[in-house]
Amino acid sequence: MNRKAFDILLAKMLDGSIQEDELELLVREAAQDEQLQSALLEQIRIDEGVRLLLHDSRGGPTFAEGVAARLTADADRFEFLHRVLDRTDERTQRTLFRRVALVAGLLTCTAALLLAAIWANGPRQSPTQLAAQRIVTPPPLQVERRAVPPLDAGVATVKQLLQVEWSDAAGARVGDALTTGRRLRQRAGTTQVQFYRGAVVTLEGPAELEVRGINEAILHSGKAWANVPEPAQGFVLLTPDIEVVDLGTEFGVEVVPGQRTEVSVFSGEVELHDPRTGRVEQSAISLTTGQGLSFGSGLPQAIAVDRAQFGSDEQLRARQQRKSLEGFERWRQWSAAARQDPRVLIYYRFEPEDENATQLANEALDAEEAAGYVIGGQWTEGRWRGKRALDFKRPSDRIRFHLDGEYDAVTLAAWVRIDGLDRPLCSLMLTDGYEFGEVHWQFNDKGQLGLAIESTCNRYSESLVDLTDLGKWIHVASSYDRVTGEVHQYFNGERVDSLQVDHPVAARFGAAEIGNWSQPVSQPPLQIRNFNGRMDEFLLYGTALDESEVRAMYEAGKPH
Amino acid sequence: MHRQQEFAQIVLAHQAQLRMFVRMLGVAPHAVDDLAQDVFVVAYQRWDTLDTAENAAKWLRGIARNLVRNELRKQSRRQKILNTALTESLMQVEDPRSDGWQEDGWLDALRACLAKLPPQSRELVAARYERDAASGELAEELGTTADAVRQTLLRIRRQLKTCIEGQLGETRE
Repeated sequence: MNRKAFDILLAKMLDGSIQEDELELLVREAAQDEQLQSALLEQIRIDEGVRLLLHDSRGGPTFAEGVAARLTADADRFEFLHRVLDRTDERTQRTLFRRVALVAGLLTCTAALLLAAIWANGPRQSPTQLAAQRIVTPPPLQVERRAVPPLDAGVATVKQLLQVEWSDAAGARVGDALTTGRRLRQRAGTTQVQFYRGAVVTLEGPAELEVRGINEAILHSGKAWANVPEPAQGFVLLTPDIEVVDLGTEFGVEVVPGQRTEVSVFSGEVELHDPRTGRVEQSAISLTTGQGLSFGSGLPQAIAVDRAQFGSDEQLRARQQRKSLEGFERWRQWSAAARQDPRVLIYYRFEPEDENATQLANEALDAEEAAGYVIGGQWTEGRWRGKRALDFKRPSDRIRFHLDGEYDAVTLAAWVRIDGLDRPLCSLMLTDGYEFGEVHWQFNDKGQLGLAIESTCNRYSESLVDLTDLGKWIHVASSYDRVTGEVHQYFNGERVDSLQVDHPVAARFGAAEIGNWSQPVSQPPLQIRNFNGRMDEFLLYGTALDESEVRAMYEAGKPH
Repeated sequence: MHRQQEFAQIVLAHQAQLRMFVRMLGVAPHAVDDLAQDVFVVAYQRWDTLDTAENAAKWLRGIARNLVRNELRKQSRRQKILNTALTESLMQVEDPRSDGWQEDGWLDALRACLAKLPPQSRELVAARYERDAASGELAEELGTTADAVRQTLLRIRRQLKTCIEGQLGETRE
């Protein structure tokens, strides 16, 4: 064996990707040639040295703590044995005591010494101890530092939207986190905002609300009602004329700018303050169940409280349900048409007849193959009540399928709810391994959507999903066309990324997985790329859909 | 009290070299720390058999050899060592090979050499060793082949070895 062939095997061994028979060969060669053996030892030595220096979990003190933990476990076993075997033998008790004290002492000392090694820089430390100490402090060699997780600036979230027309382009979507200073301006419809302390404010019709904090908002104009549960007591709603401090209740407010503000208490108690004097008890006006006041140019006037003037949770729920049914129905119609579309290669609707069955039918028109096999995962609710979805959580969860053939154009599309981007790469759909022409479709931990076709492209969009988007249903699609060389990616119906590739090849699938990644049989295991979240629709087209078709798919399937 | 203090000192002073030694007996990378901790647990139990602290390194290596020999006998627990023949041949390598890795300054020299690597090499090393990324994965990220990534890492390790020898030579003079 020449040196080059030996090096290839040696590099594989250090990387953990060597096969059993290759390893045998490598060992045989090294045993016969002293030079090769010393090359092997040298590589192992440097590899281990770098691991010791760079891997987070391998600092000297961490290691020493592990030793201490084992000794304690030993002592526990010892103590247990003696308690069971001989409760009365005083001598044993004494020995036991000494033994336990010894280990306890060791632990204290180890801890103390570790601290000393970490913090002190005493002259008595040997260079090795210094090395151990420096392992704890971040090594100078840190190129790929993960970004600091974003701070949560949100103070409230959009809970529901019903037929809302926004007055400005900003708008808002269900699940959006709202930060202090954020204004919601609507011309019509119903918006429900939930503050992080628990208060829920519902805007009805033309209105403008400004979020001021986790338990505070300004109603600049329009009609709103608030429900304030116990943890949110003290919720403050400011208006131009009056400041409403809630003491645990339900109340309604209507602001007509420049004219009047009306406050009606439906249940419980609120305190009203003059915004100019602030919240002093002496000047506070208290209103209780069934009382209402109108503040305008003159003195406050009592008004009759009419709950029916404002909406209610029951009404909202009923409307929401109707809307959800409509949405579900709209999707059903689109879905029925998709099942007749000859361009669809794979269509998983995630609507199994039997949730215990492992097989997920491919509902494409000519679906003779590519049934999905559900491994792990939990069936759960999808975009609407009644729509089913599969929840991927554990590294074992996946759907396997097999699709033969080569394709000049493909489009991948799915509705997913991402619950976390826990791994450097999170699988949407990945072929086993990654060979010539094989397709990989995934998110990375920065929330970028990536489409890779081996030896042709490996493209990530801008970041589409951040922490505040977790738990929302989103639509993702990516298309590839070998003839034009175009790659496009879509997020919620909008094209977010385009690329022209130089050497397009035909796309292939073969054995593949949704929500995970496997290696062809007999290859060593891979870095985990399991998906954390739900999926309730997956389509693979044998054509590159254009932008309008992807948009139509999004419009028909959007949950709200 | 004296004994525990001494023992804790021994653990801190010898852990790095002992772990390197264990790995160089052909123990699988993921099992190195586990086995090295076993060595210290046994060392604590047999403290009386250590004559002087100066001999601790050799004494610990002896325990490590015994534990690895035990591993060879365990049919079912083979996964702690990579390959029987490899470990058997590495066990025969004479104990203190004179290439300096058992010296106190070796890890420091390695650290200095890591810092001297050109940026691209450093990034690759960081991805491989800090993030534990497999070569296939890195290849996908870098747009190259797994074999190319592996060979580059091999070359970088060779450069590091040469660099360490230079460093240790300098300090000796």
